[in-house]
Amino acid sequence: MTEKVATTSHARRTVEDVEFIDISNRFNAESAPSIRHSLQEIVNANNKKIAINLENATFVDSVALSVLLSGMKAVSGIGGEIILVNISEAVRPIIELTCLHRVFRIADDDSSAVAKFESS
Amino acid sequence: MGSTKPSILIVDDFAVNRKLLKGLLSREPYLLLESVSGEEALEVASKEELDLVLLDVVLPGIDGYEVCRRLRAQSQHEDVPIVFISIKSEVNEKVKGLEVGGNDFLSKPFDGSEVLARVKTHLKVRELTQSLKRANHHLRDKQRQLEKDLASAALIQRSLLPNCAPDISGLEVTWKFEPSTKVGGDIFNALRLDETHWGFFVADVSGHGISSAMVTVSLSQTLSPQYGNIVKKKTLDHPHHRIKSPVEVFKELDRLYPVDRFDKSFTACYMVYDADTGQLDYSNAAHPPPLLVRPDGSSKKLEAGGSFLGLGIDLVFEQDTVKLEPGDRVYVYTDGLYEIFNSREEEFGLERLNELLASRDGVDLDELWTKIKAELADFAPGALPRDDITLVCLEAKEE
Repeated sequence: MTEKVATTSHARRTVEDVEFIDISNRFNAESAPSIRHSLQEIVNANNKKIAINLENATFVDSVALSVLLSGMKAVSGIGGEIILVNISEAVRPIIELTCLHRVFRIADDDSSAVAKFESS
Repeated sequence: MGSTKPSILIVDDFAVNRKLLKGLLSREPYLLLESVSGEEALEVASKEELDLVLLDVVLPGIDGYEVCRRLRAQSQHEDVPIVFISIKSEVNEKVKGLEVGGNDFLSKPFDGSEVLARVKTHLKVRELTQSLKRANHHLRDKQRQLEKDLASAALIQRSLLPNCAPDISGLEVTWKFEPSTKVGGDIFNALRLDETHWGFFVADVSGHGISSAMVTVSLSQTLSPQYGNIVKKKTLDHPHHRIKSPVEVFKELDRLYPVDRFDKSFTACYMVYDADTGQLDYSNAAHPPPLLVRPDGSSKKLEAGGSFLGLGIDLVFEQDTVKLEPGDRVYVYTDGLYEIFNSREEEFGLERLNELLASRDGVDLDELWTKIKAELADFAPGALPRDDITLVCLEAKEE
């Protein structure tokens, strides 16, 4: 494959006790498995506060949304929550179209995501 | 080679050389064949399965290089190791030998242990190559079988789509369906609920391929009016059933298809049409809103609904009702119709699609489909659809 399309990368970091997953570029069927794996790891480690940062995400497809949804089910199974943070303009329409803003709490930036976990 | 002895062809016009090599190689479990000329070597090669050729360069008639060239041109000998053994020892001769397809070049007089060691190495490589080839062959067979299965699965999935336009008083139903691979995750069905009510269901299961298609098969079965109480419920009183509303149907699906059941989510639109009143009840689960287009060109997105089904949380779904007048059209579609990207990574998008759908000049769905395809091809030349495409058109007619 020599295609020059930017592929998704994701990075993990911790802010206070919140596990952040920063997603860049396209979040789709190709990149979904590794992000699913990261979510599983976080849940397996019994971390209940997960923030998914979509600031640099340029596209989200249905397989990616399935990963977010199963992640949400898994983390709510241990009494936790996923908050979507910093949703990029490119991704906002699909979040609204699929009414995911009714499913996930949304935060504008890292600190308000952390604050939302504190207040819950 | 397997359990049989590796066969080695010795080609040399001097009997003493052949004898020497035979004596050397007979210490190992090899089947040894001999030829005194290039022509004879080619004849033996055409009859016997060879695992290695020890080839003299200078021969009466065609020389060793030519023998090598001709053997290489035959598919059954394309990877048989060919080792030249020659009195010629100049570098350019060795290079020539390798260029015509030889694997190795030994100079006469040769050292017996070196010949044996090289023969063993080439036979080992040959064995590995053969086993790799067998594995590839096996994989190709498997792949062919998978493709056959995929094609059958696609046929099964196609059979779930309505096989002809349902005969509904005052409503014409047409549709287009195009899976991105052989089987897809889109499903559409028209369900006859009773004499006057019809249910329409469009769903898009995440991903595509066999696993997504299987979920569409399951959904199709679940939504069959003969199955359980999903789309209508039996009652004691006349008419002994009650048609379930879109939101009630979604509640059932929400329970039956938790996202972790198949690790798939799906978006769906469900509509119930009452042919007596022309009323269409609908709801969307994370599905792109159907578009109602009136004969005057005005349009309205049918946005009532909610998010994904199967999340296991008590999500609220809304439903709405529109009354269809003659000439009104409702387009229900899946995101494959607008999530198409050009080389600048721009999306065709919902708004462009809705504009196209609303720009009706009496065209039927075939013409509209052609127009949409042309617009998509213009927007993203050569782009292959990444997802299944479904477009359903419900048009209210004068009775």
